[in-house]
Amino acid sequence: MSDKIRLLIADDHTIFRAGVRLLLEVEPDIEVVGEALNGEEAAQMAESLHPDLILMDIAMPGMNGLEATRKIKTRFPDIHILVLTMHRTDEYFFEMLKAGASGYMLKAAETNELIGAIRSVARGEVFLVPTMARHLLQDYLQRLDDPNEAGQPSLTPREKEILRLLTEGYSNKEIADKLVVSPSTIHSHRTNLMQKLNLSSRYELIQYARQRGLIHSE
Amino acid sequence: MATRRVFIIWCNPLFHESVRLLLSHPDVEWVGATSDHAAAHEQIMKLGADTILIEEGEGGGVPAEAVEILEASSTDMRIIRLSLADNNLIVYHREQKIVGQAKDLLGLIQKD
Repeated sequence: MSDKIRLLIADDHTIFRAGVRLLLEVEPDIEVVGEALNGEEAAQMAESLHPDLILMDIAMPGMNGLEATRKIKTRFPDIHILVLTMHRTDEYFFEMLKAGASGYMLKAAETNELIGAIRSVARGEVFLVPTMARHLLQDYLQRLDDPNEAGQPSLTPREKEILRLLTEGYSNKEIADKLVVSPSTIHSHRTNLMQKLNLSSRYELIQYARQRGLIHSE
Repeated sequence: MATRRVFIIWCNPLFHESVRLLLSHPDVEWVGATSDHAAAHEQIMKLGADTILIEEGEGGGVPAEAVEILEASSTDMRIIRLSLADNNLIVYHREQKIVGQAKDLLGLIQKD
């Protein structure tokens, strides 16, 4: 059995794809087993070739890299996905990680950085280009700072407003008057809030809001 | 067929190395490379390059002035635009080609 990293390249850029293949093929521990021109082909080749790792572009015609990653990771969770893209935006970065990618590299990288990333991801590690890893850390820290985000269900601005007014002692009707909605709407919001937070009384709602810093204790 | 003296002005190192590997061919003599667009003209003249590959930057587009200066330098000079954003190869003022296969780039360079 080969101990080489069996790798599939999924990228619609002809010259880049062919050139990266040549760059990688000189590495003794990497074997390029195929090239896919879009996400659909990547998903098909994942099934037929079962590579260890897929070097996945994001923007491709037809099925893009995001969809393909979701599809492949659902069927073959053991196949590692390393994103190789021009995109530096948070949106793509977080979506690809959520889809199951274990690495994110930019096409602006040096060749040795790419090869290092391939080896790390093939070993089951996570590899993120440092500038993007910083975004991940910032997002994590922000969630820690925001008590509402730390593993808790997220509340809409309207729900937070109603929770605040409830804890200030207003009745459903008074809140309805303030927010210019019907009392039944407030009742419905309150019920939803309690279900979402797994609470059963107004008292528990007030306690929750105080503990989470949503209102200040007197 | 005459050997072309090729110079590349690049933005992304991975793309630069990929292109160089793809163009490893007896008809292609690599004479130089730079990522500094402003310094390219002087180097190209000094090295006697007759084919210039210009990689378009992330913002898109190659400065028109740069292309005009290069083209004015020699009637034989062939300037080919490459971009990581698309498969379009453009030979300035001559032709445009969507890349079907990687060897299309070599074909454009060899073309008389």
